Amino acid sequence: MTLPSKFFCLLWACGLVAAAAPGEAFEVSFGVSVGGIQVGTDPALAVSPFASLLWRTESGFLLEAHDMFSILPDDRSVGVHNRTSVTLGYAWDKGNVSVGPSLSFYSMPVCGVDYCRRVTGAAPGGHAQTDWYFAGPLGASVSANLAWYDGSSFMLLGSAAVTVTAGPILRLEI
Amino acid sequence: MKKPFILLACALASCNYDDGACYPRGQGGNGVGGGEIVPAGAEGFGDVPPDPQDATDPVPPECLDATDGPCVNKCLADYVEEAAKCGKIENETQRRACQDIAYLGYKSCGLNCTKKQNDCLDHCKDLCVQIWEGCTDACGKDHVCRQRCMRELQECTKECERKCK
Repeated sequence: MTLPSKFFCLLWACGLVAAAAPGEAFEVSFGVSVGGIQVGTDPALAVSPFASLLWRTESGFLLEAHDMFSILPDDRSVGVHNRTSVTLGYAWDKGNVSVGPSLSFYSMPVCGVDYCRRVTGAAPGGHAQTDWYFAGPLGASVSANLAWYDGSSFMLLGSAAVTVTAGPILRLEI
Repeated sequence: MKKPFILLACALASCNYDDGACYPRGQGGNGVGGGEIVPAGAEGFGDVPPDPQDATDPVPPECLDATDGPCVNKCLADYVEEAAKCGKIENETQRRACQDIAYLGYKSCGLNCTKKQNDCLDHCKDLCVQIWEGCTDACGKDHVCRQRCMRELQECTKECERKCK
């Protein structure tokens, strides 16, 4: 078999796989949520762009990697908080739902009763997310995260944190 | 800097460290919003009433460093325990009174630590100076030898600061 023949044969084989599993796909999705973050005793404004890479099978099973980067503007300095999660779940035509572990890295000003201080650290946790696409590739995403903030800083000592975010999402099939 | 690598290594267990100076509230407050909730500490620092700080006050609990030494850390541990007990009192007046007493106890304990630390440092540094005097006497006019004595004095005082925490 000549090289071009092999090439077309490969394309045909790939076409067969795609035809056999029409629901299987890779997707990227992204968006920006604006909300709040309460750290220590003070709530703060959070601007959070996010991006996801999702793989779903014909049966609806999905594996997703999700990253949300939050910018926390402050009078004195800027805080940053990045959360990465890998989740498993179920997808259908207009949406999906998934859960899995997460890991956050942060460097942000935290205030106690009288004093504030920048605290840098890592916080493991659990992440749950659901996306609903109501206008083609455009939809809404809601996520919840439970993380544990602990370490040598007395400003953030043994604290569980619950995060709930919502915002618009746009998906593109690869 | 090793700290970021430490973060990677202990990410599964959760870890953090203070990254900068402590500053009074109001000198850089946060905005308004809602969503993510990170309490000031499970042990209840958020419930502790703010007390005015003066020049003789020990370091506020939330501004302590993990390296502040066993004496101050013991004060903090006792304070955290007492504050947690106070937090369980339902009557607000009694709860605040209990928290005030706990905080006063912490301040008193911290002051004792500072006094002990200063006594320890004074004594230790006196010893360093005595060693340095002996060293320079032995050196005579040897300039290189005297420089070595000075380096040893610097190392000795650093060691004092480490030991007297």
